[in-house]
Amino acid sequence: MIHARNLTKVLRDGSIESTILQNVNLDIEQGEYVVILGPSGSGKSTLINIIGLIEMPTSGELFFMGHEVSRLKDRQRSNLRRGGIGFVFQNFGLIDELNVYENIELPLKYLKYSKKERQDKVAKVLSKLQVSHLKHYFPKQLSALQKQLVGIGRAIITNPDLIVADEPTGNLTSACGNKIMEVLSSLNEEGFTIVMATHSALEADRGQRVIQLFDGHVVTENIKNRL
Amino acid sequence: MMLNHHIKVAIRGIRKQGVYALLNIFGLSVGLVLGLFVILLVRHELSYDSSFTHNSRIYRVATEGILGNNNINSATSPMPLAVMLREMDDVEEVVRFIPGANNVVSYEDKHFNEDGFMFGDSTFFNLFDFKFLEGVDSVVFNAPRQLVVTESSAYKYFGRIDVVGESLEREGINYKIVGVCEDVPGATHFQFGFVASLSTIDEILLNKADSAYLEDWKNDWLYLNCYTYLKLKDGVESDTFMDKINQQKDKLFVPQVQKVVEDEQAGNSIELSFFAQNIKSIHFDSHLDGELRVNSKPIYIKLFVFVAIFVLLTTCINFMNLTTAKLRVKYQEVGYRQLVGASRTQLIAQFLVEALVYGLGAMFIGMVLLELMLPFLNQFFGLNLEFDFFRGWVDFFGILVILLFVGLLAGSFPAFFFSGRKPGKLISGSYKIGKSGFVVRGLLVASQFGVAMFLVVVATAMWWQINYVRTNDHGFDSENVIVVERGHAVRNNLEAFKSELKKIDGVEYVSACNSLPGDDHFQGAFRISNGKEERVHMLPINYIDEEYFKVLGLQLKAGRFLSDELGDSLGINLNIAAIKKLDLRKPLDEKLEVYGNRNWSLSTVGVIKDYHFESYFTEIRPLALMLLPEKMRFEYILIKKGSGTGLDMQAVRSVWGNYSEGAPFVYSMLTDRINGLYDDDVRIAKIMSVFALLSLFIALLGVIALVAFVIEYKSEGIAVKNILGATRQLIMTQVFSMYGIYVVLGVVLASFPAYWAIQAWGSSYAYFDFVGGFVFVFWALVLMLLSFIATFIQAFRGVSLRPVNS
Repeated sequence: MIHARNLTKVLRDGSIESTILQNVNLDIEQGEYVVILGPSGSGKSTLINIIGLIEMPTSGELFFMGHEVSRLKDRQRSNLRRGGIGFVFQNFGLIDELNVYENIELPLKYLKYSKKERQDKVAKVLSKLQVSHLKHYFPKQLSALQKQLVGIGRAIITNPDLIVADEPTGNLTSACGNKIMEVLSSLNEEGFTIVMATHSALEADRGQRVIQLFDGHVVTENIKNRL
Repeated sequence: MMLNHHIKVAIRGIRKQGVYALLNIFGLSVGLVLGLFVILLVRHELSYDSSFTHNSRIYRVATEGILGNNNINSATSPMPLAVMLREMDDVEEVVRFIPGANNVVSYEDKHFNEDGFMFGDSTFFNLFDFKFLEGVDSVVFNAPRQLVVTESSAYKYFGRIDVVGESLEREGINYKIVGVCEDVPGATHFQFGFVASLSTIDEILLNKADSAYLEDWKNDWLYLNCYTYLKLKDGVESDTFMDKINQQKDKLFVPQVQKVVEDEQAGNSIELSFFAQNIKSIHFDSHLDGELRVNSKPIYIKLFVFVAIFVLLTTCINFMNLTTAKLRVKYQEVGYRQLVGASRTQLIAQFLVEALVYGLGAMFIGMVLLELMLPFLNQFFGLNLEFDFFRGWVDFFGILVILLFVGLLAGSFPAFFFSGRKPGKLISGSYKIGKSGFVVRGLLVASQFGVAMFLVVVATAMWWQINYVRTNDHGFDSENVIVVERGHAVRNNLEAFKSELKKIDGVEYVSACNSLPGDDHFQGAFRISNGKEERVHMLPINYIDEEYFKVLGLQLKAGRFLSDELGDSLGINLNIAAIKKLDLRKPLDEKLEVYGNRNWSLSTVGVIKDYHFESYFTEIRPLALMLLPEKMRFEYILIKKGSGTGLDMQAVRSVWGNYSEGAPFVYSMLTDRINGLYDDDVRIAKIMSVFALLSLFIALLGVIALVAFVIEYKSEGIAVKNILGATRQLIMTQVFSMYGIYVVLGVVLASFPAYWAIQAWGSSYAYFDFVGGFVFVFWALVLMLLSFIATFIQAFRGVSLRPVNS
């Protein structure tokens, strides 16, 4: 599903260059739950942004669903993202002016689904995440856990090919973090492909495969199912 | 589908932002109120005389030409012109009217001075189709002494409007009321309370003169004694038509001129021609002699439109600045939206709809404000504007167009600014605001300060000039002079009346005269001979009595003032301008002949210093002063009271009552009347001042937005400086210095158009006192100080940020 070859990301600030990622190779197949593990500054967020088609690599190749996407224009990448990739953010990324129902419904609106379809899909997701009772609440009325559940709901509403989660438990207590991890695991069991970035080894254990980054290099790749 | 979403988000966003959003909306609504007000004002100015049906085909025929050494440029025309016009195929209707003098109109015990009493041709109301009340469709006069009154006049005398058949008395003539019409709309270039049949004038003249005089009066081509209006048939070009008229009139006009030239042995040329003014253009820019009301000036419309556009623009700029000031929150939100699937078009639509929702809110508040404020604005500015949103589709669409314009303009910058950013940087919060973004905002604030500077300087210049025309030495003293209207009510006992008045404590002098400073004066034609050639000159004349000089404190240059005792009934006083114009080398030895009467030769007994007997709009023209002939009607009694002493007006009224046979006692102060000559400009100055204040408010809002932006832009730097121990004052000075240059830029650049606008406005004055350069400097400093205070208030919070929050 995702194949990266020699991905390199270099940032330039005036005359200073810093290499964020260097010759990263990876393959992610459909249905996998891959965790990118690394300390702060290791390049995991940059890698996950490249995988999520948010950023472009400086060099190297990236294939997403069979398309070479590393040189695509903004608009083309945006079109691939729409409905194809769901994002879960560390700070939830909810729109303050929209309530739970509307936040989850938003991607469907952008994709111009009919009202009936939207109602059906949102109801299913609300029920699946057990947040139906919160549907009229606004983000500021929710706990951090509830916010992240809604964030996940919004990420899966379009039934995307890939879920990209960047430190999804970063703003949560460990108990709440566990709950989120359970939700992600169950989504994976349903067939969702998930790529998650984290700095917690404990959370990394939840994934089927762990890619460990350090200073922009892949240092180990641990495939649990093969162990 | 998305529209609902955008609207919902915008409304919730407004609720969430609270005071900040209200500030934004209020700023926008202030701009819109100004915009709407200017639209009403401009529409009012352009709506003059549009109430008449077929107004595009109705023209006033005015006169231009040369009489001797004088140029004629008059709104009036001779009586026989209408007779000729009626014979033309191209004409549908011709109407003349003559405004009557200020006389008492009476009904039983009610007596009022009325200067809105006109005499109109029989078909007056066919051309000027005012709506009739009380069951009468329209009125065609078919006899003398018939009268149409307006609704207000009917109420004034009878307390009701069903007054057809009732009578009113004026100057010993009873007029029968044959119709009651609606009041003349304010936006009409003439006003009246009464229109009597023109044929009544025959009777009035026959009471005073013989039938030969009446015939002359009716047929004299050289006497511009009435206002003539015509309605051309559909498709007739007015210019072509007037060419035809000017050719035809010569057949009738030239013989009379030749006769005058022969009789008077005058070598001077007499040429008159007529031109047509469309009735709708009269108020807009006609400034002829004998205008029926003070007309507008095109510069005002241009100035207002300019101001409205700029105020609206600055308002929109403010909205953009305020919307984009709180960047971080917006940046992240836009990033998230992009990542959950929003296309660029959808994001642009969202911002535009948001701006339109703000605009709608502002428009609603603006319209309510305008509705509530309009009575006060009308009173304050002396206007009669009406605002009715639902009056017509044009209004509705006009407002819609403004709303769309404001909404789209205000929303376009945030829309394109935000939607073009890349989501990765937006959501990471690491997006740095580029220097160009700051420069753009700085320039926007510069333009706001530019508009504010322009308006405050122009408004100050207007007040400066108004103060100048009020306080400058007019060449006479108008202080403590009381003007009693319709003085001729006491003419039979003038001397006794004057001596009675002088017995009252505080009365110093009493005088009678025909014209006051600022009034239209009679025009007299004089022949002057220097032995070689004879010249004819037209001079304004004022008939006065000998105390006039003392009442006004006029000053003598040579000779003496006119005097009864010295038998100056054939004497004349001329001002210096007249001496120059007539080219009199030894004025006191010269004689002037009254044109048309070779036996009436006047001696120049004195030369008076020039004084402003007209407004400051015109150069001091030549003037002749002559003693009032015994039986001549005069208009005013002037009472000079001693300065610092009170005057018992009740006692004056009582003396008036004893001598005036019950005529109303109506008086005013001469200074107020002279100040009244500039009422229009005072009104404009007031409007400009209000605009200036509001634009200042908008500019300060702009500073607040910019400072918010600067703090956002520099928040990390500020926090670090805080940690390092920088004082608050130091940081604030740095914040101010970042945009202060833009305030200076705006203020300096605006000075040039302000200078131009003041010059353009001032060019309507013959005597103009240009505001000093220090006013420019003063306002520049004030604006900078105000912007610093705004910075202080807004930045105080910002620079006090605890480092941990940044």
